[in-house]
Amino acid sequence: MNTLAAGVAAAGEDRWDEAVRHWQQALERDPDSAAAHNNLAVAFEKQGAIDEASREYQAALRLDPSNPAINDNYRAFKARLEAGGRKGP
Amino acid sequence: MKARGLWLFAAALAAGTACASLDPAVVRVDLPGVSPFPTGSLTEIVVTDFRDEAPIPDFEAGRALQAYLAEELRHRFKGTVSLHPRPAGDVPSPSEWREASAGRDRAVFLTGSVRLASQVRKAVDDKRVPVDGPFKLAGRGLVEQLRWTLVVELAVVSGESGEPLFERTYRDLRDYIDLEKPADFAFSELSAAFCDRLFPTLLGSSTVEERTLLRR
Repeated sequence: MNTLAAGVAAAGEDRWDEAVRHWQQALERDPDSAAAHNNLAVAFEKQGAIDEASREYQAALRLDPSNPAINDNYRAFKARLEAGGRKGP
Repeated sequence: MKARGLWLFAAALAAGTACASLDPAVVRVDLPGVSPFPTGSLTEIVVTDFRDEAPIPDFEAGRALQAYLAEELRHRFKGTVSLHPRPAGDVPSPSEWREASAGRDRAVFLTGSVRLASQVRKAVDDKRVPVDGPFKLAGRGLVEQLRWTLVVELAVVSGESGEPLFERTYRDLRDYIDLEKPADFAFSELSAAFCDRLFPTLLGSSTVEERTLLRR
């Protein structure tokens, strides 16, 4: 199982700290992994680290701008910020 | 030939399983509330009286809203909640807000204007109207109702910069059959509805949403 998939498996069992470690390892191996940036963005969102989540989503979109999953995640993230009165990224 | 076919089938099955295991995974994530204020940026909420846009006799909506908001916030906000008179003038300047925040640490002001107004309206009611003539359909007719409306134009102002961080208008209404329903009763119900909508925005409330995780 690759590190990305291992992280997804950990997140699926609510072990998000472990998931983050897998995805950070994935980024160390491949800094251009849009998937790793996307997954880290979701993890940061879950932690309430809005600025970090925003940075990771934007990195993911720069690397893979047409990926529908990343675009959907980012749209939902921005909608949540706007509903909360935060200015969008 | 048969063995080769079986091998191809097994290879295709393995490839399909591998692809499936690399498909995106949709997960439901419990996300903490998003507040207009970054975590840790806020230790005191100062509630001012609200400018009363439609004064009515025997009821000060601006002061009542200040007291109600402060009381509710004390139950829900972990930091300090205090009261302060609104700086004079329709739109206080940033320097006036900064002056009002002197001696406070990471404070924001809740301020703005309030309009509490009533209006008698006619409405069709199917059940409450008694038969009062030979040509009237039983139980159907116009009744008078008293509608109370509360409009709050709320601003959250940074004590540090004196600039507004957040501005929104909230509007709530209630209809009463009792045409004598007093302002303080209506205000109590309407301000509770207002707070129910304001606090998740102001303080944040968690939500469960779907996100997609990628395996490749």
